[in-house]
Amino acid sequence: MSLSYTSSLQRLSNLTQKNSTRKKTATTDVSESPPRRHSPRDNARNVEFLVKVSNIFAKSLDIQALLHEVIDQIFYFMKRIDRGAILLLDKDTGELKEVVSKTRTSNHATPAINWNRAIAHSVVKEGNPVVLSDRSHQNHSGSLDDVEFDDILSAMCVPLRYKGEIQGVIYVDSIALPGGIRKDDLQLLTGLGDTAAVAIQNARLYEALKEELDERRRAEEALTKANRDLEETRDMLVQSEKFAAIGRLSAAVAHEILNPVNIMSMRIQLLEALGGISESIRKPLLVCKSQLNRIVAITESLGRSSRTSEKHRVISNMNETIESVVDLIAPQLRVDGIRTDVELHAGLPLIPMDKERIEQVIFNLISNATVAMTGRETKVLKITTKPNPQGSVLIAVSDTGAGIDPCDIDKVFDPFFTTKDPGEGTGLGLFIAYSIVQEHAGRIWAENNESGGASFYIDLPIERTPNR
Amino acid sequence: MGRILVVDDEIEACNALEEFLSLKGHEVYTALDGPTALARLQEVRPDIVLLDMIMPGMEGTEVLKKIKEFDFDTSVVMVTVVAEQNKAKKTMELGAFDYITKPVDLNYLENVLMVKLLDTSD
Repeated sequence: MSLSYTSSLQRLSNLTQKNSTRKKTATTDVSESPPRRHSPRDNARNVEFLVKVSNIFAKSLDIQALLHEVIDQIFYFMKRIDRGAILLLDKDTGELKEVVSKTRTSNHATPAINWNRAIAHSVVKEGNPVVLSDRSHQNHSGSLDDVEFDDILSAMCVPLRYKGEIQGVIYVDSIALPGGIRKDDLQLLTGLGDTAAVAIQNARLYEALKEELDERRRAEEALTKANRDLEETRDMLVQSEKFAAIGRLSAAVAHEILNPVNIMSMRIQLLEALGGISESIRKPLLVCKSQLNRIVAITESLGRSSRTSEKHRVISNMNETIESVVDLIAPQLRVDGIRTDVELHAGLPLIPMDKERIEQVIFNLISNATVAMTGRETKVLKITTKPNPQGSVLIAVSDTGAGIDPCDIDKVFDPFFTTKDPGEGTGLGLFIAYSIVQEHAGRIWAENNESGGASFYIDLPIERTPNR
Repeated sequence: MGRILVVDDEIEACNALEEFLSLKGHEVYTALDGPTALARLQEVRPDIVLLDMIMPGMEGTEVLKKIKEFDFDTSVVMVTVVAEQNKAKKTMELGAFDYITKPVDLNYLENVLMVKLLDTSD
């Protein structure tokens, strides 16, 4: 978009040089008598004004700022006017709206001036400038008869016209000085009106364009956000679907594995019962037994990860659930030299839950924290609960261990993921916790603490939402 | 010592249990599925039935109901897995005497059987 005011500038220049009014005015009498030709000083003044205003127009695309400067210049060049305003036509309502106004005695902070509605509307309607000469010796006539003139001694109003369309008016008047409007003021203001109209049009186009760009940017941002949300939701769905499938599969596999394990286990017991086993055989048999027990532990954990029906859920107090687990595990925590810091929110809303399963979750998280702090100097287990305004309860289990490797933070809930030594853990504790939280339509996630260690969070909804 | 009917769809499980319980002096009979077990029930008249919960075809619970219909006094011990414990507990309401979990601890099983046998012989 380019600013084009040159043609209007040229026209105004011609106008002032030729010293002729371009348009017929509503009242042709002007205050100065006898009529005289413009002096070279007048022309110079008009050209100077024009140049100044043109610079303003070239500088700014902000309508408000632009018109403020224009009105300042009008006051500077028209010494005998008292009030001035630039009014723009609202295309939707057809009403004139005062964009800027000024009085001789104040600055821009001036509240709206009481511009003469009849004059301004007449200009909009007729499309011609209106000049009211000094009313102290002039009787007016025609359409302005019924206007209440208040204290206006003289007034002038010119249209702001762009491509034949009226965009608004520039209005000035004088309430104190008789003969406030000079003849060449009309030409000055008329020329200005044409130029200003172009600048206003440019600024309006610019604003419309800016608005359109802003809107497009907002739309793009919204789209980006929607995409991101969608991706996250998809990831969550994939994740939860994956776990649900693993849960079902693992429960089935666990059962299938237990049968051969049962047979092997019974065979070993039978050998022992038969007696007469040499020491060289007894030892490997013990190893076999302990390894079978390991398999059993894994399969039992897998069985726990599978879903139970919602029938087992009762409205329960999360704090009590946590306390019962902590009470159970407290002696072991003391043995391990772990300080327990439990901060349970007193007014926690109740939650529908399978209490045994949720206890399992808390137990697994505490066990996990305990192992994470093995060998650490400071061992603090912190458990907190608090209500979440979004209609859920937030539980946090934090430790002062080594934290989670950022690469692993998404994997910690995967089945068989473990950083423990082989045989030390099944790698199913967090997976089970995840599965159970999923069953309760909740969320579980891990974060590293800023002060070191890791925190596991569970967000469980208060309302029972239908689970998939 | 008692007459024990072992019902398990895994033949090796039947064999191991048979060997162990025989070793302990019991009279042991086996069946690989529910219908066979119900048929043997009449000829064997066992003191105790050792019944696997999960079997193809007729499930343990179903077999238990049929046994109880036939002779309510026949003692039944269910064999199950930890994950199915809740179901196993419910079988006690249907008249099962006890349940044990896999892998079966044979000494524990012997204790359970002896308790029941001594109880019955009183």
